[in-house]
Amino acid sequence: MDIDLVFKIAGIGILVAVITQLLKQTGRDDIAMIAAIAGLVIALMMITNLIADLFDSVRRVFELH
Amino acid sequence: MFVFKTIALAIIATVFCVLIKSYKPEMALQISIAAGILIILSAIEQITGISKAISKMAEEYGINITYITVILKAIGIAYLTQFAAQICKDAGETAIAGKVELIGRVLILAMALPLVTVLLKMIQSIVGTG
Repeated sequence: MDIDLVFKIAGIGILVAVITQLLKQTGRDDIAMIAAIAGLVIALMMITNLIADLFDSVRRVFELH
Repeated sequence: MFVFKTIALAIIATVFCVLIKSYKPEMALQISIAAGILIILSAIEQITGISKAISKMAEEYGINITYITVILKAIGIAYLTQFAAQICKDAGETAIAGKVELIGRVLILAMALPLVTVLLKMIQSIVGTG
């Protein structure tokens, strides 16, 4: 039960939210958008690894080859 | 106990989802996906135990093993499509969720078709028509 992944993704989410707010205040909206996309991509990479694990285990359990 | 860990993970993940939803809805969606997958991955041991017990019982009572594998496959497909459909519904994309469910039904039906033919043959032999 590795709950730290949930914490990691939540951390990325909070960080991205703070950074985008900060950048918006200082008027650099484009960089805020890039930061948001970067955070999203990082979290997506973690999620895809997790989804790959899920599919492998479901394939093994239900013999869904 | 195992169930406490699952409940704790679910509640913590929900709290994070609500926290981030107002700022970054797409990140909240990712947290819910991650939490869902983690919960299921932690339950995989029990599921493997159950499926092994079922197949052992089938061999004991002489039930044809292919029926059991078809049932297990149907359960697997049903679970995966429901998993994806619920994520889409969470994100508000009910149209995509509907499509995924439709595909799930079609796949299960396609897989169960040979069983139906076997069943009809059995009925025909019992009734002895022709």
